[in-house]
Amino acid sequence: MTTPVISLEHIYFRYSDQDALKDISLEVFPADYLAVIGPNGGGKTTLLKLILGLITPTKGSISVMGTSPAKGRNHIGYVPQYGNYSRSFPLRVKDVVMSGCIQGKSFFPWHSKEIHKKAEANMNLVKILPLAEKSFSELSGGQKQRTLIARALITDPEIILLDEPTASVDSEVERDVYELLKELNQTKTILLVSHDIGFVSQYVNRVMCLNVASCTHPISELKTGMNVHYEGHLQPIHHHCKL
Amino acid sequence: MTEFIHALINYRFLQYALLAGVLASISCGITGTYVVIKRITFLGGGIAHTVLGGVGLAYYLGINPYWGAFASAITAAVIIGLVTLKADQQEDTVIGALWAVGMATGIIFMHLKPGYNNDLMTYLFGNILLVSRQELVLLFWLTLLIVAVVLVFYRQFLVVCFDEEYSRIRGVPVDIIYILLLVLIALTIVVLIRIVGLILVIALLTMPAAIASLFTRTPSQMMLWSIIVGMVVTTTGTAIAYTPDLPVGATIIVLCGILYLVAIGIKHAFNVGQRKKR
Repeated sequence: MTTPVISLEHIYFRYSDQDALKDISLEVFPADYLAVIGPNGGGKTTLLKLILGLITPTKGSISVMGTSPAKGRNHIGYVPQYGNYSRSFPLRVKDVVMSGCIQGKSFFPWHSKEIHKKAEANMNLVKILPLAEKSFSELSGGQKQRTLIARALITDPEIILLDEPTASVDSEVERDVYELLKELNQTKTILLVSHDIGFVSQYVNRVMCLNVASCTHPISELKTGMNVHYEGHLQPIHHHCKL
Repeated sequence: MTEFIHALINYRFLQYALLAGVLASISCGITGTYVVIKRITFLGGGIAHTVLGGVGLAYYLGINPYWGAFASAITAAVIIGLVTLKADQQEDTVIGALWAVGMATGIIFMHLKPGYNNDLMTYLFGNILLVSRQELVLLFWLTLLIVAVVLVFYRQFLVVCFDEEYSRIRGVPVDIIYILLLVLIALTIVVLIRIVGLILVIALLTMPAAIASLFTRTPSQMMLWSIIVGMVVTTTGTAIAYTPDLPVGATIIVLCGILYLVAIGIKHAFNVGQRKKR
């Protein structure tokens, strides 16, 4: 039997005044392409933070690559929402990509030749190499997203975690991003969170519905009987899954 | 201007003043870049104004005010850093409180020290012309320390400023790096106090970097241009103020402000031109 790369067992997480997650269990296997879908405030970002070891669960256990999230996150490439960044931060695209290999012991301003080469290869892979010298703040939403994906790839991680990768982009860019992730899924495990089921159901293998509690479905269920309930409507998900 | 050049050749205090301006420009060009890109101007203001408490206390105790400034700036940087990173309180409220309490403490100590303290006024409003040889040596070592620390931690400061969460995931000790950055800003403020005074220090810390940010695409370019702008305004400001005997610190800041407005105008005109081309 295949060992999961990410495993959550009966996870509870509570912010001071309310539950963010209740009894969440999830196993992510190598080469999975899993989407966690849910409304805003449903606990999606909390779930990512738990997997990344940025917060610890109130109850339950998490393992990443068979170890604790704090150690296992070395195997994860994280792609946050591009909208979180200052619009005037003076960094070129290649600087952002190279910043992905920062470590606690990264001293002095210079990057090694190896890192320059890796950055170039990853920018090429996500088709942003011609933008390498451009300022990150001048890019479109889709280009920024690709830059952040290239940054996540620079450490050659086994798993890629994405937080709302298609938030605030138009449908064409959304499709482009999912196509790119599908390509990357040939060698990487992908877990993404999104509030919109939209295109994502055409690309992923499994969908986890999350609104504080959760249920997981293979994509075949989405594409058949449950389709009506999921398409763009989060309340029916909640109702259908009896959360 | 001839009078200024003549005086510059003949008077050591003026040579010290220009050298102090150059050293201050290096410090504020480097740390000011981080202040501008991380958008922590208010935080820098908080540290700067808290310094008055330390200066006042040192005066009252008869110690060199620089040591008071040094201790209070670093204490304020650490407190503000911890509040920003850890506390539940709204950080702007805490910074505002520290800002006001620091100044109030300084005023109380000024009041307790008998007589009018003219020298203390130079810490409030600065006077580059009063920089002594001893102070110049201190400025040199402080500037060297700032340059050395930034050289070593350049990438870590940058990544923490750009994306704290990602830095944490990658194992960067974000809290330590952030507080170290604030301590460097505190040291820069101590360097700048003699030049423009703690009231105006935040302007010299941020305006050269803000001007440079309009025309540069990387933080290292921004630092370099910010240093150049700082050198131009401190030198020119001192020259302009010399003959009519204007307050030098204030003249430097007004000059910097004018330059900033002109730079914004040039940038705007450039952007309009680019849009028309398209």
